Amino acid sequence: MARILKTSGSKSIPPKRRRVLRRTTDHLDERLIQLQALHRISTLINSTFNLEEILKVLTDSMARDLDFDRTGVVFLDRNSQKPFQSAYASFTPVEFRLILEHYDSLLLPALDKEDIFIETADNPPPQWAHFLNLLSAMSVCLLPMRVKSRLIGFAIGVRNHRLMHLSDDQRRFFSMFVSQASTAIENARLYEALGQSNLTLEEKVQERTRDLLQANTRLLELDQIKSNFISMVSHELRTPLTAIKGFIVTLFHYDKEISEEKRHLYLGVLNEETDRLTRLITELLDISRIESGRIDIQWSTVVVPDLVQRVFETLSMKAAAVRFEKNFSVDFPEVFADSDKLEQVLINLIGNALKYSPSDSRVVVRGRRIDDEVEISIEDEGPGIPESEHEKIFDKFYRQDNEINRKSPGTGLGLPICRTLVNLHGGKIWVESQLGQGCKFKFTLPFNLDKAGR
Amino acid sequence: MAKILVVDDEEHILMILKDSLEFSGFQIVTATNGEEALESVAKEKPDLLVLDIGMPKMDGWEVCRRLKGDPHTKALPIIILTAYAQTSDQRKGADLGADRFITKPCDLTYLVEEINNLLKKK
Repeated sequence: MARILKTSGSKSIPPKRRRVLRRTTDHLDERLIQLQALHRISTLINSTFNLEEILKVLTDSMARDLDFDRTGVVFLDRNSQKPFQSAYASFTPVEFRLILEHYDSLLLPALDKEDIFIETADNPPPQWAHFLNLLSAMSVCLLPMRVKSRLIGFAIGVRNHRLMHLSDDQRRFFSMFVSQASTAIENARLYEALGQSNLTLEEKVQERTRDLLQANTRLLELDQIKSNFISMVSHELRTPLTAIKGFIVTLFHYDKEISEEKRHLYLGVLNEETDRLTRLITELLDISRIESGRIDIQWSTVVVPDLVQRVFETLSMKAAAVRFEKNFSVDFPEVFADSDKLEQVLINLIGNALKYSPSDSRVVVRGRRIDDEVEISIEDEGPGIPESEHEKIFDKFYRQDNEINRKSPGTGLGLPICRTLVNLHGGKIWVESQLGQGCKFKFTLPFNLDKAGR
Repeated sequence: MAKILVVDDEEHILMILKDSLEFSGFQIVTATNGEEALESVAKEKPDLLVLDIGMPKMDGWEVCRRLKGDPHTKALPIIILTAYAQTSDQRKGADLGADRFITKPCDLTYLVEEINNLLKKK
């Protein structure tokens, strides 16, 4: 010990010692550089989750501290283990594409094998010679990045003109360097994924909020429609009741003033108005059943001309002055439908035709086949309907303003019910008419099973 | 004999209003929509109006608005007789200056009472 102290304190160091001292100093310098590099990397881990920043520091540090001429980093997809994201500091895009092209055949086996893989231009295996040649490099070094023994990516560095050989010491340093880098990168990626999932979560919350707002608006609209409907129903029910009460009060109160003839007329009106009220209630129930979806369609095979005949017979006692005719094409098929519902539609349409038919006129029901549908048409010779009302007449409680309707008002529900029932069968209903030209109410029904919604 | 214009698009209601008011000693003229009503007011110069609301061509609201907005017809008493039964309808009637608002169905003897009250006030 004393000797060493004496020697180091002396001004004249022997050449051999000086060499040893220089080597030691060089060695210490190198260790200092390594420690500084590791410090930089570990500071990086704690200072940022920004992946791009980490990659930049990493590739810079590889160039400076590990002494590479060109460096790059490749990440692997978590599931497929294929490269999906890259950063290259000093490779050209073309070079980097070359590197990725050799990933499966050349790089992956080397990464799997070793912690640090180095290949140099002195006597390499043929495929590596080719690879080095492509990159115009003397040495290539692969640093696998692993987190819990799973390969998450790798760093690649080349030296252009120098062969590369690492001492055990350097190898340890490289290992520590890349392991620190791996942790930093993985943390950054996890952080990014977390941010992404937060973003997704936020988007989902926004989307759900939007959905709920829409549903709420729709419910408010439905509520409005419902309360409008209820106030219309109230109005419609009060109207025949007003007539009924009016006649009854008058019959009571002005008993002496009322002639026998008038009494008879009043009783007739009372009878009509109670019928109207009953019809209104039945149709209101129908429409509420249909609209709440509580209606069952009993599918069966229906011979429409027979059904039409039956409706004619039902209505004929009200139609002494009107001639019923039917005209169905020879190829008119049997249809698959609900017989009762179809009869309800026909009673409504033929009943309407009858209501508007002048004396000594005809109501004709025609049927024909068009492709895989049938079209049924109910035609009268009445006053007709102006085009402006062709759609309105299918609205609930809409009644045309005309003489016939004033004398014998309908419920305003017949046609809306017909439309709903025809739609339930997968068909359409509309009117073709002009003022003074009579009316043709037409509806279609699909007759093949698939189209009938079965 | 007081002359009353009864306006309603329902034939049966119009019939019984006319008959019962005639039995009560009034002279009755009728109209079946708002436009006819305005024409009849100008031509027949009735002493009072019994007015339905839901009618084609021109509804009762509009008839009321026009008559109460015109200095010549402002004083003509109007009884709204309607199947529109909500409070908001009543408020609307009052806002338009109608003198009475009666909801259908009603006791026609009550209508007669109200007509007499309004005519007395006049």
